Amino acid sequence: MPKLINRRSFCHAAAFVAASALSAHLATVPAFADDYPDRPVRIVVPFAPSGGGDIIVRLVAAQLQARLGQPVIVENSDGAGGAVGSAVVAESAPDGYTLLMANVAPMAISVTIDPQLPYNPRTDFAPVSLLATFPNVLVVQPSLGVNTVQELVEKAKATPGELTFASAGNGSTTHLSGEFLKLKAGIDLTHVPYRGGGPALTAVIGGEVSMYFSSLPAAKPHIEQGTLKALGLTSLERSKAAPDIPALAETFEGFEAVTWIGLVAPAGTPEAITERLAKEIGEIMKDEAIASKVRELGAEPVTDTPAEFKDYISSEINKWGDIVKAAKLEIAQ
Amino acid sequence: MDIFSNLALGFGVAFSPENLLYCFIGVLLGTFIGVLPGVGPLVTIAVLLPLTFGLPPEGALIMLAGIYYGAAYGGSTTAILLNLPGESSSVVTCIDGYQMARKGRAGAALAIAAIGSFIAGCFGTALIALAGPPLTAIALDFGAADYFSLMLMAVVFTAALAQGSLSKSIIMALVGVLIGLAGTDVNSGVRRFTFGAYGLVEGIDFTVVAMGLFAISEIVRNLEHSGSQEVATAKVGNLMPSRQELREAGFPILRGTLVGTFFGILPGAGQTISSFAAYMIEKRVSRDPSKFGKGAVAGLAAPEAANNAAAQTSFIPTLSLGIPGSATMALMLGALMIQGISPGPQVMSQHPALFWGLIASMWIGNLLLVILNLPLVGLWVNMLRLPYRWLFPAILVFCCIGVFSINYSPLDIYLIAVFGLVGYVLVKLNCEVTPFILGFVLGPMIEENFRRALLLSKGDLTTFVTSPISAGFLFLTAIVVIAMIVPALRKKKDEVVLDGETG
Repeated sequence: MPKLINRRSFCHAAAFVAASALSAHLATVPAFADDYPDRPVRIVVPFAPSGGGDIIVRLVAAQLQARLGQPVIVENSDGAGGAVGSAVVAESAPDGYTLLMANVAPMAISVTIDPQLPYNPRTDFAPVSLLATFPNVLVVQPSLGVNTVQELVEKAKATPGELTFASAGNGSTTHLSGEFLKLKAGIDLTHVPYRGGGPALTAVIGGEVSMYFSSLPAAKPHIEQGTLKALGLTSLERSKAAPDIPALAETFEGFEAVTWIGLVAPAGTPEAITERLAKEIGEIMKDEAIASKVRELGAEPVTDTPAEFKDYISSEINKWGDIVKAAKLEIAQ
Repeated sequence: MDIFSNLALGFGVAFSPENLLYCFIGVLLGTFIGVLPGVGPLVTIAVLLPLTFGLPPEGALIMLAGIYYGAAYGGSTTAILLNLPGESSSVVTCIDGYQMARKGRAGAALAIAAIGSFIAGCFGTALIALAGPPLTAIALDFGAADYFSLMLMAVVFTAALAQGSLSKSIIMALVGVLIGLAGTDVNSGVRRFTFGAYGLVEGIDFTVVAMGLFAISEIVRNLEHSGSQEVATAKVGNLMPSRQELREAGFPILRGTLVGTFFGILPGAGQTISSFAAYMIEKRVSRDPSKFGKGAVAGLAAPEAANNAAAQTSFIPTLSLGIPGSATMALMLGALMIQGISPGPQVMSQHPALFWGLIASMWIGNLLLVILNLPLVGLWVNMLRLPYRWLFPAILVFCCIGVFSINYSPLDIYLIAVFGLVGYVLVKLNCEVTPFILGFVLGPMIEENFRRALLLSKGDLTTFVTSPISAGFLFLTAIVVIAMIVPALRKKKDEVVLDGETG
């Protein structure tokens, strides 16, 4: 164990070693890239098993298993918006046998809003590669009587503080996307947090709130049915899955607020291993069978190199940090 | 579209040999994971999901759905036999089901649970087929103010029905609320009662509390009488329910089914509340409420039926809106998406074979559960013949594995020990655990919806009476409060309490 911060984290790590049936002495032997991997590889997903990210990691894990010739096991370790699972990997042995599904929230947002965060996303991880990005879509009830985001902005300016936006929770991308819109458009909206994306989407369909930055696949059937109106996507470009929906960046320059997932290892993992994994993942995501499944889940497959991913994480930390500070959000105590 | 031709299409799909097999595998697997405490349908479905990618969409969904309601059913088995709630929805089953087992009626209790679940499942399935999409409108009409008033009503009703001291019940419920509030506040993002422990940021898992208060404290209580076999293990009795027991179960099953159907449709309210609500109603309408908590057949049959009906009807918002009511449902939607089917209102018209096949398979699945479980009753009950000194270490180990597997958090294992101790002390002090659990589950939801309602109304309290749904619930609550205050009724309640204490 490289870092023994406190008793609890030690217990956590120890239990993990026992639970994953790895022999403890192997963890102390330095791993060499030549014979990597010679035992099972574990990918920690820091959320409960639901949603697109988890499924994509399971798809990739199955392919990785075939390519590496060793079992690749996906484990869910939920808690604190992904911070619990991410902390576990930050404290694991940097030997390439424990990997993390990195997610925008625990990797780029929590560091600004959570002073207790037990890891530093800039220094405690060795990035491998991005896997996919999920654009969100800004949806409103048709009864709101707006057809474009400009009309929404006009309505918000005419009735300051009257319009509300739902979110999947404080500090989630759906929350910060709303804050981002407030800043970019110079409007006043009331934030109404819900316990997860499902209740938030129900609230906007039922007309309890004015708008919501929904995940695209969840909102798409309602947009097609006309029970919701799509005003814009949060990716810089339009999506192939829904080419009729404009990108918000067409109105507000540089408006990008996507949920991304990727793969990282603990800091200190040999470069040969992260490079090897990045190469395999690049090939897996280029496979049309996999890529099309990823798109069915409303995501866009994206891969890069360890160096590029490191820069991307850093730029995301800065971007979200600026939004949190500009919006003067309350910091979790 | 004709309902009969739709159902014929559905049964045509579901009765194909391979889909019957998927359905059977699903319910069998579900039953077993339901029996193992803590290992819920969520983890099982996640692990099996990649295996279903190769199956046709109908087969995949039928199997996953089988796991889902198989687990809802399997959780009752350990609740009845060992006071060990395998799933959160089977906590209420513990109260009277375990008492029946202690009286030597374990077989009858298991059989009644199976029959009640089957009847509720049939009704739930029929309702989805007949009125699924229109019922979705109810879910959309429920706003924050309405949820608040509904849950407030539930809490007041329980206080009105509590056995023993009213002040004790209120204190227990309030302590439950406080412990339920631990974790991150949804409205402000502030962390409460976490004492700097990262494992508490998401709050305390319901399963952890229930296992500690019920299963662990029961083990401690049993070990108090060392060497004695006072536990259920001694007596097994006749396996099948008597005519009298079946008669007592009839109406409770019907009422439980209706209650469960209602709560299943509301996203977020869920199975746990439905079984509590069914239990409270039975106690209210019973001619002899003192029997509750001591092995009342109605106290077992109604919540079991409610729990299963809710498991079925929670498919209504999921299928018709594409909005999951729980993480398990979210995963099932993911399974659909990966098959290239986007969940939502159009599933019914675009993929009729899938939609109606799934509905038909639910009915078949419920039938399979009864066929599977009635013969298994004998097997499960035999487990009770094991000497307790062998049984209790096994229960402890399963509890620990189950709790650890929820979040891989060792803190949760310490917490079940703490709650086990708390549960033991409460039994010794004659404090009922039910108000505590109810406060724990409903308290945070009441607070969340109250504050959300005020946020939406800009602090205007009249929002709770201007919404007709909310006003209706508040009106009912007021009637109950008045009834409690009226001395004549109050006196009657005291008589019941006296009966309870001497009986």
